[in-house]
Amino acid sequence: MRNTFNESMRKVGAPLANFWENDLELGLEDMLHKSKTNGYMAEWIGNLNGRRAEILCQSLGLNTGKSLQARRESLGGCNGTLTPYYLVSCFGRNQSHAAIGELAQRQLPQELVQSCLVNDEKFDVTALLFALYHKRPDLLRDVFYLSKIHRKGFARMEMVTQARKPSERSFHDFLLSEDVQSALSNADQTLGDGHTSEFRDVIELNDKILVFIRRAERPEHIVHENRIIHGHHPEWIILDFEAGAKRVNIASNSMVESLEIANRLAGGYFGKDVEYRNEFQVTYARQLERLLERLKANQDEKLTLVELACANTPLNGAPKFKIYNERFIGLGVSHFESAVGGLLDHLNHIESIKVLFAGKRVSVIFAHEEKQAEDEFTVRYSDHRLNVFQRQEFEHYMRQEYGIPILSTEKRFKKQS
Amino acid sequence: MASLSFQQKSASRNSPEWFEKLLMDGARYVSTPEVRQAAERLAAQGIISLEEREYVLCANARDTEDFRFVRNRDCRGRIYIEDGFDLFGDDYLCPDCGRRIFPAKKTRYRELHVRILQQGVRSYIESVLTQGGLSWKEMAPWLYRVDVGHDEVWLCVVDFCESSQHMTREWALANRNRTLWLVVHPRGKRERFLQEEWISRVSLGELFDGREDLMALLETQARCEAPSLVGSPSLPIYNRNGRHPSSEIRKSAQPKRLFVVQITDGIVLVNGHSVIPKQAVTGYPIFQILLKHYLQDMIESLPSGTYAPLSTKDICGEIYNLTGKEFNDEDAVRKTINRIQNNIETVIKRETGDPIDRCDVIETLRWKGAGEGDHGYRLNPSSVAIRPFISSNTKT
Repeated sequence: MRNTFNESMRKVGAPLANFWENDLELGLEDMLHKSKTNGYMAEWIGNLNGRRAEILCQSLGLNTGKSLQARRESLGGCNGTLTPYYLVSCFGRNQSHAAIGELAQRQLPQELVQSCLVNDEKFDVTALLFALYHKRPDLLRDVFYLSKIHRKGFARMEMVTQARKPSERSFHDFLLSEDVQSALSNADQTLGDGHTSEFRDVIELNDKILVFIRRAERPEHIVHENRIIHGHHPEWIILDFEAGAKRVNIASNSMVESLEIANRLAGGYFGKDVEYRNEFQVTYARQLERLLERLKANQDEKLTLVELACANTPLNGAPKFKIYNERFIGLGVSHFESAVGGLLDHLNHIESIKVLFAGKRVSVIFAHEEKQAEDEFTVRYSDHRLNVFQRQEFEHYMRQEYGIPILSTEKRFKKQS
Repeated sequence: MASLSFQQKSASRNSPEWFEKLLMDGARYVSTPEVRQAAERLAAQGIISLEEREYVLCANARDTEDFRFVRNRDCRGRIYIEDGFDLFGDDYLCPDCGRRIFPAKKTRYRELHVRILQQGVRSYIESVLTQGGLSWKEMAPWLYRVDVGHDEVWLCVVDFCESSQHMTREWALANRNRTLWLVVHPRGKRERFLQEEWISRVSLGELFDGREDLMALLETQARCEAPSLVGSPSLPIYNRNGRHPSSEIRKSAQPKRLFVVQITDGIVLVNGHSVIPKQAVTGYPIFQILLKHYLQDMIESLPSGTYAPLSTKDICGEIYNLTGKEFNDEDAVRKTINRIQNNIETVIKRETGDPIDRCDVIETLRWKGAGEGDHGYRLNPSSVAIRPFISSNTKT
């Protein structure tokens, strides 16, 4: 199957199977099987909307009329060259719309991007992916990577070791050098699980350096032609370095491995063992009381209180208690407080709240870290619910409106000995 | 407005408030040494019973081996360890998300579960009365008539007293306010009483930790005058099942980002809170210098964007002009300003809860070498307002 596929891709000048399967983690076999079913491609072409058909025709150099019907007919005549675009559309199903939109705005002409707008906020992402693929197929790899940063929460870590920045090269230069491999090997050796870390890419974006590492995580098996194939579930470790590697944001499934790799990479750069620890930022009780008062009274323009979970409530027996709704719950909270007793003025008993922001339900917790005084809290939120732009907006808003520095609920810890 | 949850800011966790918090039937607290110590003292008196349970958290980043398998990383589920269940087997499920939990490999926490023992409360109160040498008689369940000298004072434990005829405003007034109302529930004193000043109330927590003395309170009550001008609506004294209709619900604050700066007698105040104390030898003159330049720019009617910043070198020169002493330590100036900026931010956040950034009062403009143009410090023209200090004693 692979050979035939590679042959057909060579003919149309498209990337070979390794690009789709390894770089984009796209399961080719099922998709190609489907596409060879009688009438499947014709149906796929028949479902293309005007924008997609137009971009496809432009990309393939088909000079057709302006009607959608004519475009679809001419696309129907070029089955082989359409296969990579079909794969692109399959690839697009699991990618972040925010990532595709952002990359398209940086890489494609403005008129083209504007023509792919569905409404004020949404893009026709499949059309944009066709255009990105046409410009340069490896842009899909960037889409693949950037999608991951929009969908995962990042643990905010800061370096606790005093280390001087090397004068001879920047951290970005270090990441592009051979020294990275030895830093990763050291990390693998320390972890001692027999897996190897694969350095996939480094992207510089908005003064940040994003490092993408793929690593086998936990044993897993699949069925292939009635046989079980054993392997490992792949894990993506994303390290988002800031301030010359003095800070790092970590997104990963694993806890220990990603932190070890970050420590080793930074250690390789600074030339000594360094350590990152979870960041803490102090918010005072008064600030939280003010936030909650405004949320309860629905005085906040951007945030809507939609859930409140409390322990030690004023109900008899002090049971736990959760009020939630798909919309504003402030009236219900006020009613409870006037009828039974206070909820929001007992911060230590609030387990979590949820606020609606940008149409998404975001959990916010008021954590009491060790060594913090009674009226000091660290405020954390479930950042994975928001895309990167929404996270920036949310964090900026909380700081600007309430003076509250807000961090992700994600944390990383070293393995306890 | 006083903060309700933190009446005493930065209260130590050893504070006697724990006695009060623990007097909530059914309450659960993470078992720290301070909580445990307070709980054991209450338990030793028979006032509460304690159950200590171990639990693990469904989603806990400290469980480095398990956390990777957690689908909902925000899950707040607690899984309590039960005797006889297999820690490595299939016995445990998260009550919130239904995930299978293997507690053996997870971080364990301890929790104290408190139950109020009515008999213990009764014994404690009666023993305090007896030890005080007072004679008393229980006239109705949880309503005591206590002889204090030649006077009679009533002591009512409002959480448990079922005698609704006695727990009214009319009865209290008819008895010339010779009643002391004792409450066990920590929220009771603030939320559940009729909010009228003449009603004397005390919490069991206050008696237990020694902040209040029952004997002294009863004696005071025996001497108290009947209240005047109290009106005559019929209201219950205490609402055992929830907030009293007369208790105050806080009003929402409005957001603002304006900082009123005042100077008096070597102290700098921002929004009424002291941010540079009297003993600040360098901090106060630096602030005076920044203020002077701010006022000069204001007199010259400059647009706010063009108020001139002062470099650390300028400030050193101005300190010489102001104090007559040679001052060349630019680093000390920079550090002092950093300290003042941090202090202002902390004090305003902590005391008022208002949003503030460290540059909202003293603004830092472009660092040296980080670009063209001015660099240095000034009072922030967009968020600072200057006001003379008006003493609270000044008559207007």
